[in-house]
Amino acid sequence: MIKIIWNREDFEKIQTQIEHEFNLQITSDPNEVPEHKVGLLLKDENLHDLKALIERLLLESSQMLFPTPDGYVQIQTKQITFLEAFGEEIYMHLEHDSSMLIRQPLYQLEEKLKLYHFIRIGKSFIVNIKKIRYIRTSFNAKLDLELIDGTHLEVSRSFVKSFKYALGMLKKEES
Amino acid sequence: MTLLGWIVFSSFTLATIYFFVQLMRDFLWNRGLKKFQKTLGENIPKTKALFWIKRSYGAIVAGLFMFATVFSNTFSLPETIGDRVLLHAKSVESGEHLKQLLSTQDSLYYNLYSGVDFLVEAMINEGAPQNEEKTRDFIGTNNQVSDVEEADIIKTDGDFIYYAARYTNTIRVFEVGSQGILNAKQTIELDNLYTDSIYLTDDYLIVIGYIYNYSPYRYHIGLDYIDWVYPSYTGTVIVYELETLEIVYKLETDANFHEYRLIDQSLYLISNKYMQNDEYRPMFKSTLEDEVETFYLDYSDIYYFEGVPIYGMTIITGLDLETFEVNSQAFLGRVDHIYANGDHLYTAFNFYRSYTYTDGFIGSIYQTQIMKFAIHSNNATFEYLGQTVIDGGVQNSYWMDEHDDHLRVVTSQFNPVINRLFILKHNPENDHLDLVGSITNGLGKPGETVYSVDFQGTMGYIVTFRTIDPRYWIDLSDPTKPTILKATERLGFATYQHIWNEAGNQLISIGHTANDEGVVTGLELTATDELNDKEDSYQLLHQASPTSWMYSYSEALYNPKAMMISPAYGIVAFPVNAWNYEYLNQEYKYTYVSEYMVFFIDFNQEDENEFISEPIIISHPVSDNYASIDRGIYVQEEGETPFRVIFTFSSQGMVSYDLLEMQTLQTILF
Repeated sequence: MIKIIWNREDFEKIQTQIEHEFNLQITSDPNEVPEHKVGLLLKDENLHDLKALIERLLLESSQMLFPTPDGYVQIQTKQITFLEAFGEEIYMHLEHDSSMLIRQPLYQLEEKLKLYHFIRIGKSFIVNIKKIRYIRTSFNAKLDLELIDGTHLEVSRSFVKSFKYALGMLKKEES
Repeated sequence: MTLLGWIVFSSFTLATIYFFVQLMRDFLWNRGLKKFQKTLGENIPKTKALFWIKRSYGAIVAGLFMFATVFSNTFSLPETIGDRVLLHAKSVESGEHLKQLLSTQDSLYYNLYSGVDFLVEAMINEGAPQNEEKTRDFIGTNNQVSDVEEADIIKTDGDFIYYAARYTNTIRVFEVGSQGILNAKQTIELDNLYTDSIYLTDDYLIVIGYIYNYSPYRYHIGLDYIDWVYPSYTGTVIVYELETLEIVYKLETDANFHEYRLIDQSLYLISNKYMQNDEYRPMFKSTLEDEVETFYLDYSDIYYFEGVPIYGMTIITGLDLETFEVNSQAFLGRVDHIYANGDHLYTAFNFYRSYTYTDGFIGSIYQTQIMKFAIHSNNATFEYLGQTVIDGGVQNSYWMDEHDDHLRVVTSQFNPVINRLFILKHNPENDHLDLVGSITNGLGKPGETVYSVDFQGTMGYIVTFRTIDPRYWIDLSDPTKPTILKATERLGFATYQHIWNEAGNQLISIGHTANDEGVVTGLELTATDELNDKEDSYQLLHQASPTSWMYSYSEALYNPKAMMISPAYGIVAFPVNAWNYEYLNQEYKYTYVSEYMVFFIDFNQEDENEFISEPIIISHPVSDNYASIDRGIYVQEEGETPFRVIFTFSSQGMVSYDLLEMQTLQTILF
């Protein structure tokens, strides 16, 4: 059996989902785990879930450093809704209507955020898939994305296929 | 559907397909998104129902327009019969559509009650169907149009007399023996069939009547309810073999028979059906040689007209008396009066149509829908030709007449009183009766309504009345320009006119006498020779003396079939019922008499006062229940033992009169 000690506050945000997906025993016994921590007990026969479990936990609490005109800023990836390029200026839009200027090329940001389910939807846009509320199809084969903050972004025709692949709606060989 | 209709329909169909495909794509994309987001866990953005409502809006609206294009019939090609386009008549097609019509089309106004059916006549009725081989002859039913037999309660072929006494549910059959002696042969018991009329053909006796059925009905008043029964009628036709008087055919239907016409071997039944229950389709049940067949008229054979109120439906049924095949069609609306000759049948439906005047006041207009049908009397079929709606109401079948394919029709309306004459002709390219000519002014003085109408060839005769009787002589030789030639006046008014000669200038009228204030004072028979400006009349005045009053009434005043009339034999006869009051010794004494009055008409008399002979009066024994004489029949035989006899019938008995011996011949009490 493997015991994983994790920050209680971070874990409680995703506890329901984790319990649903993984066969775990959870303990808050003060004799076994420190204060503000939680213990996740994974049986030996479920060891094959370990990698996925760690990734999920890391993803939820992942933070990144982004270069800004005022220096590096540490931001949780889950706060980012989308990134937008105006020429060489890149704006990172966050939840609650705030945004900041990032001094890093968009293609580098695309690579950097790919692991966290960000997807390029046009020459100037990268969107966080978790922040999409609706997808509207349109007559010109483009897609209109409505984000949770009400922002509308357009998936260009040339990026629709990769977007479809990112959602798992298209097998790799088809893409 | 028209070309424009197909274009609109295709456009809406394409739009519907496009929006639907888009909706499906939206669904698939969002399903993929949610599925993927679910794998990521935590705070999946919820898709609101409003999103899908908005996204499906286009598909729903376009779809509704697509269906509306089809079901509204906006772009429907006009229906056709042969090469005629139906501008007015539309097939109901389905029960649902019929229910929809009943809820949307005007059906609130009741028809103007026809009031007293003031009588009129039409053409010269030779009266006696001549049979060269027989030595016997007779005067038949006083039909409006010769060769178009009308039903009545008595019929004869000269050898036998068939009498359907009112209220008795029986047919009494008599044989006319030698010297005019009548022998009671048989009484046909009809059980629960109430007789309306009978017909006689070479092979059959046809009885038309009703069987009353009472159906339970519950209606609510607030929270309470009342159980009731409403009577429904089963119109029934029973055909008896003339030789054996055995039933050979029976037809029952759930409609009320209104009128009938027998042309050759085709019996046309014109009925009104009121839609009281859920089955709107007319039902027919025929019994032929113990084989019973029940069938319903198809919805595609039920037609309606936009703008014509639906008080029920008119059903035209043709019964072939050789094959007993039934042909039927129905038309939403109603029938009040019909006119038929050998080629065409016309129906008239009087109704009030709601109307909004320019000042916003809502009123109604009194109008009449006229429908025309072609009759094929060789196989009892018929064909709807066209219709139109005219102002005013038709009060009597004699107000219509066809000459040279033109229908001449007279209408009258009240408040304000306007009398009109219309001449209509069927447009062969569609189903409209075109207005060819009309007279809308000059018929009647102010306040005078039409009381009787007659047509003879290219002449029309219209009598109006309020205080005096103007008879308008109308030249109809040019259908586009009907012209009032003159108006002759006399006190009183005619309720029935009968053209006596081919030229149309000798008329027999029955009606009322009146004083110069328009108050009716009695009953009157008039013989008018218009050519020589001569006239004779016979009056039964209400007050015969200062102490004696007599109120005379004759069914012939409103029913031409109660009148026996034959220019060939110079006979006019009709029943008269009279109450006599006499004031003697300070008390009233009254008596009831039922008489049959026989007049001989001779326009060749030098003295105009002798045009009408003194009447032969045939009296029936006084009965306890005031039975009145219904009809008279004239039969004559030439040969070794000639006779000329008038047989008069009431529900109480028969009294015959020998016109050779000028005395009562025989009395039979039933």
